[in-house]
Amino acid sequence: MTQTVEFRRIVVGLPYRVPPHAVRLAAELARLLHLDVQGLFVEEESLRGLAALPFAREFHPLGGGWRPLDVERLSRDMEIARSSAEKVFAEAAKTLDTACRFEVVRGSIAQTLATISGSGDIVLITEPETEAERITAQFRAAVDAAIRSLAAVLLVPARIARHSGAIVAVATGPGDPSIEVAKALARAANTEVIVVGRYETGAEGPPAQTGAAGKAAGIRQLGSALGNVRERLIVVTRSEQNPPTMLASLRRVPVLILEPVRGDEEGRSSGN
Amino acid sequence: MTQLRPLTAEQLYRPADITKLSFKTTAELDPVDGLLGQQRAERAIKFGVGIEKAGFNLFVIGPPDARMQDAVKAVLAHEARARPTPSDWVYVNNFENKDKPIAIELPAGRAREFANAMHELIDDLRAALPAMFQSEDYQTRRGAIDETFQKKQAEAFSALREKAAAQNVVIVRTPFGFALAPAENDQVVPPEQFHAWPEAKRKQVQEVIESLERELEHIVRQIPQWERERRDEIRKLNRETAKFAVDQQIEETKAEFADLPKVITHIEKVRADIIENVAAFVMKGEEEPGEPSEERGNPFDRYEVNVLVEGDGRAAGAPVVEELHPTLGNLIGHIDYVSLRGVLVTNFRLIKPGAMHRANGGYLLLDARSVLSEPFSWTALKRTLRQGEIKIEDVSRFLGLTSTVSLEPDTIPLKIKVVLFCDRLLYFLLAAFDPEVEQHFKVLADFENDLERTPGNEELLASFIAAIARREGLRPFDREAVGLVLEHAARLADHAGKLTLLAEKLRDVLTEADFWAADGKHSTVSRADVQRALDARVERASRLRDRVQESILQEVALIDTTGAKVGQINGLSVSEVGGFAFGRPTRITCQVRPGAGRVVDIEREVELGGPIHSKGVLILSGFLAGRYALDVPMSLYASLVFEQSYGGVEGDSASSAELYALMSALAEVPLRQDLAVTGSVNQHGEIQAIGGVNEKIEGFFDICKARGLTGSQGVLIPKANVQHLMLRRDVVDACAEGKFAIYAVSTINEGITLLTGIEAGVRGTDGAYPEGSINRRVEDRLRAFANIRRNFGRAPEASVSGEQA
Repeated sequence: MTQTVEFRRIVVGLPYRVPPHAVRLAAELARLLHLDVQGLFVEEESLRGLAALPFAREFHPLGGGWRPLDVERLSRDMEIARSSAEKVFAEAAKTLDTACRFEVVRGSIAQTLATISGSGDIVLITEPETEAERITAQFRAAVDAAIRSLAAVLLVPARIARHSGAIVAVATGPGDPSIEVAKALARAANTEVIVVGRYETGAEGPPAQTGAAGKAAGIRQLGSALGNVRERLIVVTRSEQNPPTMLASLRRVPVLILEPVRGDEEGRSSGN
Repeated sequence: MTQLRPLTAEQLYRPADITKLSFKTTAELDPVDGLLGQQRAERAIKFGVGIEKAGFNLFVIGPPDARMQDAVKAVLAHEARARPTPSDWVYVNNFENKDKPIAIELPAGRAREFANAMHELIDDLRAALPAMFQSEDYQTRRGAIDETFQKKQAEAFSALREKAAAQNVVIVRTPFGFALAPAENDQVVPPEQFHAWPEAKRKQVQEVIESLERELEHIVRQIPQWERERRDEIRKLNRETAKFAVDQQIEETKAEFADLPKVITHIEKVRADIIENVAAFVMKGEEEPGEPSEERGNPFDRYEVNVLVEGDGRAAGAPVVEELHPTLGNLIGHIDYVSLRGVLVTNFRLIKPGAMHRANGGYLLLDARSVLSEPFSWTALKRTLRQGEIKIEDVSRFLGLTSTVSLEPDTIPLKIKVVLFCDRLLYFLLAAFDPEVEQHFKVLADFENDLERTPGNEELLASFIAAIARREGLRPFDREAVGLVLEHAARLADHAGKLTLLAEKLRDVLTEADFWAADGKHSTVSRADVQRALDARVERASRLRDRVQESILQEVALIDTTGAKVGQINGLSVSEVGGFAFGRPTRITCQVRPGAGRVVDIEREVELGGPIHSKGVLILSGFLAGRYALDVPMSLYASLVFEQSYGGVEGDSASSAELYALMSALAEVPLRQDLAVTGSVNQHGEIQAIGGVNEKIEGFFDICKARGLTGSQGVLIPKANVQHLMLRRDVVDACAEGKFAIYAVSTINEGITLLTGIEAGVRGTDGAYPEGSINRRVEDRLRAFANIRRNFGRAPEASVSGEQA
């Protein structure tokens, strides 16, 4: 039995640095699937608190060096970042003629995503460009919140390899919802679907390789299995144990991670 | 009185002796092409072609209708076949400096081979390299490098994060950077909570954060170095991978050109560049979408070969190139530009050859007038010949029209023979004003306008006619038709004893005769067809002539053709409009009175007379002064005028007529109006040859004929012009029937005797002219004028007003 998933909205959690390609991708996807796009710019309260501490300072990798972090400067920087994000968002929405809403929220990105997103949503998370960003509390919290939510997650690599090609569904079986979602996307994008079968072991690696190393090896095997396929997007259903978050950076294409269908959630998924 | 006899009909027209033409139609003749009757020019051309030294280029001059180019091309084509086929030339990219493309010389026919080989090489590599870089082996090695780098970073940052977490500190993102903050359960501690902590704890956390900040900074500052290491590793891997794929293909290509060191050198540079820039081959399709550019859109163009000149497909031997539009670019080549986002860009592939490239190693034919009328071309031609190499220059840069980056391609050695064509006047002017002409064009080939009319040459011209007929696809001409063409050739030469070499004019007549033959459904062109063509040509062009004659016949323009008048004579002039010449009579009158020895040319006074005409009139004064009343001062005032002439008058062919009119006025003896006169005169009274004698005679004949030939009418021509007579058939017939007459005159005395019917007279032993003779009357009148003038101041009551001495 094939499972289907219906989406209503793409939520773009806009961090301070807004990659235009990610926003554009969200708008494109929304247009193809007739979804709304909601941009969330989160002004983190915890940063304001930190700025209130007398010793607080921030490091500017490009500006070279440390400078005091005070509330006034932080407010100004946030305003600049918000304005920039809104502009990028508006331009993408205008170019692709998509229904978009831009919202500024105070709080934490994790709490906001957890609160606002639900089934029928796709939460877009952009892979950080640097490892420094990856270890920040906000990124980790945002990914955790998105993965924990009932929403699907669209992981966008820092740099997208291509904007055309097939839609790949990585399926654990014929009823995997990734197949139907991939088909719907392919129909809308007028491209082909490639279904890649995936042996579900409970972990993403062979039985002998479990743990972090095992996960990494499993994802890499999946990447290798795709070989010379020139895909534009991968749709995969999250396994219970771990999300295939590495796949996006490995293949350098967006990966749409669907929530697994649970028995008590038949209301938001339908079979055929 | 000695009676001057008219010329016989045989003297008026020399028919072709068709009995000497041993063919029925020109189809039987072997066509002769090239340099007919141009032995002098032919020797010059062969000398110019044969001599290999610098500067011995050819300047071919002659009449515009001589079709010199065709003739020279025929000679050069023959010479060129015996010469080696010149090398091919290509331009390739200069990988060290792309603004200075490299020229490579290849044996004839190998340029295209080289270009194709390079194109195939790149095509093959475009297929092979991506496959190589997508191979599992490469991807694994590449992934390992990336992973190592990322791992290095990730480990450093993870260690920092873990170290921070262990000390209750988190790393947070700020809008434009990073910060470290005190934390509990991975959450930033609010300030009120932090301030509630004991001071020792606060201080400790603060110290921890300061320490971690230093570590964060240290890691961040290491990233560029790690990134550099990663890039180096990847570059090294890419080089190794590319080299593996490229080497075999390159070696195969090199093997094809092992005998050409410059090509091998270039291929080696291509190898190095491909290995260094292999990303261009691999990244296609993986790039972010963007606007195509010369560099990004066609990264493989730089490996292509721009074949500038190639021998493939052209006949063996040296090239013979004629450039009809010798602009600077067409002559020495040019560099094209393409617009890219509003900016003009170029590259070595946009270098275009000029005529000098195509003719290099052979012959370049140029029309000098065209070269001179194109900006910069003449200078560029001389400069190129002086330097012995072709340097492509962008003229728009000289003029400041473009400020974009251009190319400085390698120069190409020049070994060429340039042949310039022009008419004589232009050549003489150019040679006079440009000393470099002599330096670069040392060989002059001067084409004759005509050749002697011997039976042999008539036969030769018949073969030439056959050649034209064959080349132009005309019907064969029968012998009689050829005879008439030969006679027309003599008429075109303005000489009964010569044949014109103006091939273009002959071709026109032949073509038109062929048309009329077709119109008459004749399989061969007959004499009647040729005559029809000649008549039709005259008829088409003669509107102006007919109007002039009409005005005379309607007595709007006053010309008498009967009777006799004092001081009035029929002169003859020729007008040429659009290549058609016709003669017309003009009334010349003269008035005399005592004066200061001045003969006034009214045409000159009103600036309608040209300098040669004025010279002719001044000669009259010299004649009078040298012949009459040598013992008294010249006391004549005479005025001469071309009546009803409202345009300019040039030439001295009417000077004898003017002198007759002057003598008539002085002698007070009437001149015959049924005669017309042409011929110039010198100070000794000798009649000299003039031009257009046939047209002049025919012009007066037409008027007389229209009014009715009386049998006394005729024309006085210089004796020296008898050889030029090739008169129209009707004129010759009228003369043969005694209805019209042509008189050949060699002196003024002969002419005045004929015109007045009174002997001119020669001085006797007493030094005096015979009583009653024209000369005596003239001299007596001049003495009388001298007396009047001498007595003018002494007897006021007898003086005449007006003329001031």
